[in-house]
Amino acid sequence: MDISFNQVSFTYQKGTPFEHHALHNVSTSISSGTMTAVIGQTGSGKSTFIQHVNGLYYPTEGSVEVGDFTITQDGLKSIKKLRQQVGMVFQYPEHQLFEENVRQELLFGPRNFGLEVSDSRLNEIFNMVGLPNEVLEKSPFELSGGQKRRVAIASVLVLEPKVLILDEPTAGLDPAGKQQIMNLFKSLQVEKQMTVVWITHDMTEVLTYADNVIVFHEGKLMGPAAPKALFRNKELLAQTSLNKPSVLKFLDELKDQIGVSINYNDQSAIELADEIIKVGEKS
Amino acid sequence: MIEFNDVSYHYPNQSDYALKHINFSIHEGEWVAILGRNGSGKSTLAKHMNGLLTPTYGDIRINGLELNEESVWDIRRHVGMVFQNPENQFVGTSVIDDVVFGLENIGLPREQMKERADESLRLLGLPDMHLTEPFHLSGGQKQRLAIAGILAMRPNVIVLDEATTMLDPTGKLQLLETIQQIRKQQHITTVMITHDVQEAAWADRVIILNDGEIGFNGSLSQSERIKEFGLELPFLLELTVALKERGYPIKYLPKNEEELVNQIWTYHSTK
Repeated sequence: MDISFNQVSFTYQKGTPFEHHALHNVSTSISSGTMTAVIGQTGSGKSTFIQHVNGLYYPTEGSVEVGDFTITQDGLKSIKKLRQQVGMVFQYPEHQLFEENVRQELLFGPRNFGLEVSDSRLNEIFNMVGLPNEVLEKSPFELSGGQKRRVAIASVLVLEPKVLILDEPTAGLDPAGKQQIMNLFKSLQVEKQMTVVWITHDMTEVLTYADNVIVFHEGKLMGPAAPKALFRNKELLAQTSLNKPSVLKFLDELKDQIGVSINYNDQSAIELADEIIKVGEKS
Repeated sequence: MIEFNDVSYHYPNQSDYALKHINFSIHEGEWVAILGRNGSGKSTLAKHMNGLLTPTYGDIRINGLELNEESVWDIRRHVGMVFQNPENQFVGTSVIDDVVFGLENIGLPREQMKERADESLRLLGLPDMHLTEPFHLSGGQKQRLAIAGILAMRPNVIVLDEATTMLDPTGKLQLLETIQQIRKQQHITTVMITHDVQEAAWADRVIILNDGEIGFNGSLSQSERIKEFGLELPFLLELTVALKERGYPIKYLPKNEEELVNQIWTYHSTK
């Protein structure tokens, strides 16, 4: 599903002394079937932005279109239908697990939407998120942090959404766990043509997985841009206090200190080591 | 300073042991990283260091004193713990209240409390924030406040349990630099629980936990087997290892990109 924001502004607690403008005149579009990273400092408006996509917030001004749904300040009548198609995974979703066992946890969402889910479908989703089937019968509280996170994501996938919105899905996971989760989203994009929008602070993740990146700064949107173009934009990085991914920082240092210039074309660390050796032999 | 002798731990209602036959010792003033995947037993191990958990088998000595029901209160004054989410640890309504909370508990005279609190806040780079509410601090500042409160107690040991996990890269780096500085000045034994291999490169030594057992104990630069334990090398260390394998004379593991480029530069300029 295509998503577009048309001159969206959002104000928290409008008309009170606590009034706070979280989004200013945001216009952007996200194409169906792409992976889009949303980045920016804490308090820049990222979370407010993504919560507009499934109608948790209604814009104070402007409109949000998600497929055929249009959300304005008056809300949306068919909001339940929208939420069935736009799956939302909050930050630390494992804190929201509550059912007696994982199977019940996964069936909770579909029950609310009046949907039946077959056992084979549950097994298939479990396979997708990389959990062994025996976990289905366990209490969610017996699982490790990474497993809980995957159960929480599975409980959204079970509704077969077309759009997946995630608020820092890899926060607090170890590097291998991060990679597994990000590879899962990539395969959902490739195999199920899902549209994935996720918030992250990990710039290596942005560089590796994002087709596009949206930058928020003080409620305003900068971009969207392709990740490589974004990380070349020194002014924007400085203005928004964003870091570069480690590989690009390294290549910059190499150029500035030794005058060795290597272009980044998705090389692995091993490939870069070979290039550095080659350059060294020539000099 | 810290000694674990054949420590095993078993959570009630769980079939498997979370820690299995753990043996190691950490000397005074050393900085040790305990590295492992989510679920490897790292946090369980950390909670043994000040008696939040008691071993099912085996024994633990802190500063020569066996950790048991009698000694635990004494030992807790010497072993400070900092957890992942500092917000869960705040008790004061202002920065200064929070720092002196522990000092009030041990009944320190007012003048000394003030002196220690001021010193801790200065060391952690929070000198002009005495009256700020802890909840108004940034993530990195909150974590530094949590450490200031512990430092004011003049502990022998600080245990940081995933203390940088919630911080952005800049906050993380600043916190690590602060820790390094404090250690130089106060010779505090530091134990850092982490799943971040790059962060572990700051420590003098790493102990890798794998499925409740010690998989490796030594210098990180000697551990080419990190991947065996399900740990991913971050880009910078993967590149460092790849260069080393190709015959580059890597002298130390870089803590940042600049330190690797410096080593490459030194090599090129002396060739």
